[in-house]
Amino acid sequence: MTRPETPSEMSPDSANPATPAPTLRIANPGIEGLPRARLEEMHDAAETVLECETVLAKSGMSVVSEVLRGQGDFLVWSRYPQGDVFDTETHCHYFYHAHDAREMAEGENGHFHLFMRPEGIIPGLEPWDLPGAKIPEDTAARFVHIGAISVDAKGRAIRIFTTNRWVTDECLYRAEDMIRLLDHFAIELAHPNWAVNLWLSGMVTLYRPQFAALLRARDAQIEAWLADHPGSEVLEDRGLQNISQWPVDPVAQIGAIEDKLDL
Amino acid sequence: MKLHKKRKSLLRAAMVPVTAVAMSAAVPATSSAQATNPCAPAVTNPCAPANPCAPAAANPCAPAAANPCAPSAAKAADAGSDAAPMASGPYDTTVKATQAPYGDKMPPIVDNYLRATPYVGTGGFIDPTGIPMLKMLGFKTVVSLLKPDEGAPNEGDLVQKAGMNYIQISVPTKAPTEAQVAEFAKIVEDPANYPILLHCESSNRVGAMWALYRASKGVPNEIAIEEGRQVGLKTSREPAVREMLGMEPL
Repeated sequence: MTRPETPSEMSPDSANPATPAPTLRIANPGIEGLPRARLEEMHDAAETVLECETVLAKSGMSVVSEVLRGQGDFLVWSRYPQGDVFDTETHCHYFYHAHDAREMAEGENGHFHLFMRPEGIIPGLEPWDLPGAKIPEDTAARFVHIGAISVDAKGRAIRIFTTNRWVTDECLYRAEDMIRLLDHFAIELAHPNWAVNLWLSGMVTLYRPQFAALLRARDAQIEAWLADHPGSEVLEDRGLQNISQWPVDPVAQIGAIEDKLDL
Repeated sequence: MKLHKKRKSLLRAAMVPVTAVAMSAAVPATSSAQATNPCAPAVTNPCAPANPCAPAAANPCAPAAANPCAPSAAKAADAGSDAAPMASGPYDTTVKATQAPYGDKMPPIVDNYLRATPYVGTGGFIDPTGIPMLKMLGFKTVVSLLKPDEGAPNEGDLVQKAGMNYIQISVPTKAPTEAQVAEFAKIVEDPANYPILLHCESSNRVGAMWALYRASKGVPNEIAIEEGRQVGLKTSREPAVREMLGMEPL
């Protein structure tokens, strides 16, 4: 076997004969009907997110610069910071990385993959046993991918999205179970940077309705795929990769929240 | 007893992009290359979290996602509804009609932004990503003095998509023509268009248009020129404006 001279020759299609289905762009689920307490929580998160962005920018930093700091060359596929970031108390975990530019959104520098360990948070949740599922016997070894946050070179959020099981090797749970976990996403660590960790935690709270809608859309897409491809190992199917996405719009989100809060 | 937090609006902070240092894109590394056999799973899954979990499946090979940067409809300001009070002209402050924002309320999305009247904002280049914000800030109409080859058609699409009126008056020469000034006068005197953002590339053409418009309304030429200079008229265009007004050269 010869290795291609340049990685650019390793196009998606050369590594995977089946071009994955396009990512479903969901409509904004809106914030209708949310209780005031939830809206206030989201507004607090917006304040945190903006404060982190401002403080980082004033310091000549960004959420991207801080996960890459001191990590050597920024390489496609490598995970940053090295060894990932685990909060063993909250059971949450993340890393940042980039794909080849052709495999990312326009203007995307990379994305944060966000994970949680359900058993550490809500014991007794049952994985979704679809074709292609991988369910570790040890419940402590089960982790879920709640979503990813794409950012541009300046660390500004571009979109949030979900993926198929095989992409992150997660143990898939149904959306309704995972939505229960969203309130618990928090990285309470000072490394690699406290502001980055606060920002990520705040983003999940600020866009909780969108994360929830993306997970529901993910499930619907998986079921539709299974119906259209009888016999498919759907959770292992390379034709289904990034499943649902939503373009981040902080001004619209904060405006909608403040409308409801009469600010 | 639970204390209630005093909340303040975060919208302005959200609308002003922070100036962050841009990072370089990731560079490919052969060490992280995908499996060379296109039909076999890779040994490592680059998207799987490090440790403590099971070995991973094959490497993802995703197509580029759909463009997530398309502007979405922003929250409209409480402006422009039929029930809102209407000004009688560009200087009427006797009614509570939505005005063009003051400079300190404008995020840095319009170069050289100023207010010519309470209902007319002026400036140069508009950051395309900021066009939805203009709607949020209350603007109802964007009048562009750009030429088609300066991106006016694309800008018009973005403005209309954001829910504002777009009027293009191409001003390619040193000064707008009489017909163009007359067209602009109709626009600026129609309160249904308020608030208006009048812009070009630098605000030089804007200054020329404003000086000629004000002179057409009976403002003494010297004062009209001064008003034009105030909103961007430069010495490169002023001679043509002075000539149209029958004034002495600079």
